[in-house]
Amino acid sequence: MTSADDETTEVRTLDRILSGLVDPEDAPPELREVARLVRVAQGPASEAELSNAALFATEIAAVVRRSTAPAASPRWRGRVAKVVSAKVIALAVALVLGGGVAAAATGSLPAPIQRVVSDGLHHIGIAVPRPSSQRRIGPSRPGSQARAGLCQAYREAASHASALPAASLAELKLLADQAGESLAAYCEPAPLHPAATAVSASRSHRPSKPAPRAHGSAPAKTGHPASSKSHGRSHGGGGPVTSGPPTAGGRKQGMTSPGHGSNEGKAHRHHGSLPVTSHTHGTAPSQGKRHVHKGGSGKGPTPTTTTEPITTTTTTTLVHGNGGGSPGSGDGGHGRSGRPGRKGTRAAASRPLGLASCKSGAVFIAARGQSSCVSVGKEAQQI
Amino acid sequence: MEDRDLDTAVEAAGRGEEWAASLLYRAVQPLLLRYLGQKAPGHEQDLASETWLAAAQSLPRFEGDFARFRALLFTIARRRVVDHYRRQGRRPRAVVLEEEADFADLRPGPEDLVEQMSASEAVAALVGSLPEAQAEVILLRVLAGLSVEEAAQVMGRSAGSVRILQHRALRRLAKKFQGEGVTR
Repeated sequence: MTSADDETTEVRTLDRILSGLVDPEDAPPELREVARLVRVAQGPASEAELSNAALFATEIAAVVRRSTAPAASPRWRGRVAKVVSAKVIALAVALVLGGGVAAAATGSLPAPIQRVVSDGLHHIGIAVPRPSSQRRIGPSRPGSQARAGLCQAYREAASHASALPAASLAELKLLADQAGESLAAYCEPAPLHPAATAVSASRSHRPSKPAPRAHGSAPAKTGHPASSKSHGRSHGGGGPVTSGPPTAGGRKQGMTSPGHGSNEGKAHRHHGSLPVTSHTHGTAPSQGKRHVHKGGSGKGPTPTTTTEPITTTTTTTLVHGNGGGSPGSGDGGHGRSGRPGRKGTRAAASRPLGLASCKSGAVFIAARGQSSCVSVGKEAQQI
Repeated sequence: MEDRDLDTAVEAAGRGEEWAASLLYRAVQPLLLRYLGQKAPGHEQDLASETWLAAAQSLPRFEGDFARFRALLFTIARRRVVDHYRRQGRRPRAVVLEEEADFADLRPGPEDLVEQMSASEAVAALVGSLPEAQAEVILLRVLAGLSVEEAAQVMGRSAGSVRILQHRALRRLAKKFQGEGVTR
């Protein structure tokens, strides 16, 4: 037997001793006591060591059974279910949010919600239609959407002495023909109900705020005979709230509150007393203390003569109280004076009877032979 | 009890059968207490309960015979010991030799003394004078019934390293018992 064999035998013996498989008498003399100790160490259990065996066994079995239940179903099922659930939830949320945003952008939300959303988004620079606190009066015309856009383009083109694209013009003519009206008449905003007090009373005081299209639209043509009328309407974006036609400020207003919504815009928040204000005429830097007066004093863009006259069909005139600015825009005096109204007072001086009688916070409204100052604030005074 | 019965018990215990759990408990719990009694004196009952709870939770997915189950149980127990001392912020007690001198004069003779020892005392006599690593090898080999390879896996060492530790431990014990005799 080699030394290697001896070593192997010794290792085996040691393994057997430690496993308790070697009788102490058969173990090497030097490891005999070790073998004895191992046997005792592996000896039978004492009473103390198994004192609660039954209780423990019951508990162990119960734990095993509890653990068996979830283990019966494959884990991947739970994971897949979780993933699918998460995706479904995410999709639902996205749909709801997307739908909500779309509805808000189109002004389709319920008025209170739309108002909140509009105000909230306005603070972060997103223009969303804001429902007017005033109701629209008068029947809506058919095809108002297309009509609004086309008419806006038409008026803008007219104000800038430019031509409307042929396609748009053709379509507009078609709509006008269908309505049995001339182009100009067709693009006139709907008549303002006398009771409608949605008057654009103020302009934004923010001189730096650009409102490039604010004036373009409505500028009554220079020397238009019915300047005041046409004027009042032309700025309907800031003023007339009834018809909701796209006005010069239409784009901007269209974004905020088509037709009339803009009136409740920023200026309203700024000048709380005014329920409706216009903020679409920002190009005319307001210089006065009261924006409703001086907004029209403007430095607004010079109105240009259109090749096709815009006839006015309504008799509504919206004038701000106190002889202030022209209705709703810096070019308030345009129609009347044939040039941009520089001073609201000057425009007021040439206005119809009773115009100057309206006090601050009221607007002058003349419609169908009747005129009145309609309160837009605390200081309103009824004539 | 034959190992076949215990193998069957392991399988049945995985299904939550109480008789099988009882059989396994009775077979392993004494050894477990002795092991834990050396590793964490005074806390062996609590640590054993934690060990069984963890083992029971893994039983439904366990695949193997009784030997493997016992190895699993001691592996869990060893981790519980480590956690126990980690919670207490100190290292495990490795060697307990304080009483050795007290009984030195009382020993009637190695054989008689061993015959009168309890299992726990025998375990203490085996590993009480050994360094921690050697004691661990002896405990895992004697009480847990682990092979050299299994013990090496549990301890995170190589099989050769465990063999060396085991050899040194036995030589140390042989030398001790030949010179001093068995003490407790």
